[in-house]
Amino acid sequence: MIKVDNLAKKYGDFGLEVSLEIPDGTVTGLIGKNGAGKSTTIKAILGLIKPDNGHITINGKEVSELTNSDKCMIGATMSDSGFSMYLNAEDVIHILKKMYPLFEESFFRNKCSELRIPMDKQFKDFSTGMRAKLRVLIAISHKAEILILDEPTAGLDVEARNEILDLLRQYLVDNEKCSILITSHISTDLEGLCDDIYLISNGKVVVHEDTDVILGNYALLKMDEKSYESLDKEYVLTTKKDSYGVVCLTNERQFYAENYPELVIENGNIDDLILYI
Amino acid sequence: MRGLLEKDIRLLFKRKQIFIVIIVVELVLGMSGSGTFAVLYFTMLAGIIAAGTLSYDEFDNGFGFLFTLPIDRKTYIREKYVLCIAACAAAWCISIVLYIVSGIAGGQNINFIAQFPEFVMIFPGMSMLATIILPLQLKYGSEKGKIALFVICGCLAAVLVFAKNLFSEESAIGFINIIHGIPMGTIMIGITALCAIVIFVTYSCSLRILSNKEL
Repeated sequence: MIKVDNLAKKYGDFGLEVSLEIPDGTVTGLIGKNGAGKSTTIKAILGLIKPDNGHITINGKEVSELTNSDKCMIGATMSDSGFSMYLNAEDVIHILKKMYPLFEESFFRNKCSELRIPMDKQFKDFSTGMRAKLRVLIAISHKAEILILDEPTAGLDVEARNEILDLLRQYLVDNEKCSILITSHISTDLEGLCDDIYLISNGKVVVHEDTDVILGNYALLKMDEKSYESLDKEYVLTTKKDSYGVVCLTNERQFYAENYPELVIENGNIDDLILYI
Repeated sequence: MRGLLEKDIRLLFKRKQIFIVIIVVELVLGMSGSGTFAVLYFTMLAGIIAAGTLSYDEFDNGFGFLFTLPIDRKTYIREKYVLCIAACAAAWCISIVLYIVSGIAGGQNINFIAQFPEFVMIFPGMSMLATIILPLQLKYGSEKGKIALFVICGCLAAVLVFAKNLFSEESAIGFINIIHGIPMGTIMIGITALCAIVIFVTYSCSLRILSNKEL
């Protein structure tokens, strides 16, 4: 279980203040615009930066006190970094074998072959897709109980994205107690994978909902100015005006569907959350 | 630490062409009878190349990824020091063997016993040099770190020139005579102890720099 309790970190004008909880066996998505604080949160959880305030615990232990053997239970990917570009997959096997007591060499080799990852090619000659697949494979090849994945599908085509998501789904099937914290800009990736979603905006958690609730209860209400004036705004979360009229985000789709049949109501999704909150 | 050593040794062997060139140069120097310079050159280069593995880790935000693995900052620094000192030790041994082999092959009359004290002092000296590079690279990055090293070398040279001007020729000769009066064993122990102190100081600095680094 990962628990982030009042984490605070300041960089100049930007201040991060978040609390979140990822129970065992849960897949949690962290979403937000660029610069919202997702990667900073991930880095703090991984102990790469020191928080100004607050506590982060993994399975009850402060992140700053995790030993190297405690860290063996974590698998992580960073969006923009990995092993040196001069190494190859064969080198990585030898390195990981010495780092992780539970490293599964045959699993790693089989998956490399399945995912068309060459064993003897230096990473600098890899495509973006190959690098991304390898990063995830490294994270899941040592029986990690917790996966922390920062933008694992960023910049990939549909095929590569699906291959990575299938890897993660299969990992969840094989390791029921595994928790995943994942950030992504691609809402469909998260909608099909996550149990719950945290939305961060300007360094603060502004929404925390189950994915089913977002997909089932959230909606965009589209209307003209006149209809907006007479609308009951009790369940309206945000309102935006554009040249076509007014768009409201609500978390009570049913209420407006029953009471305002003349409204245009579009089912909500994660993209709408990012755009309208 | 074993995983980190595996990574760095594999990275070092990706540059095997450099080692081949160094060995050829070493053999040529050995045949020409420049034993001390040959051992010093090879040991120094090995230490610098080993310290250079830090720039591979730093490149493309590599530190961020490395510390998601089961490695803490203390282990990382220890591994770099072990690698640099081990690289110097290996290069030192190989270069002495190459010097003797190439010297004999080149028909040189090698007096190994007479040269041995000089050889012994090269190893701690070059290990110290390699480990001075590490905190500079950690603090300033690989490019600025090299500039910082040049600045330090320049400052040391300036201090030496200043000291030379400060003392008369007679006092310098007197100082050299005092050195000559000290038994070679004492000088060797003294230099090794001095290098060990400097290595420990740079280790503490490296650890502090990395501990405070946001990745």
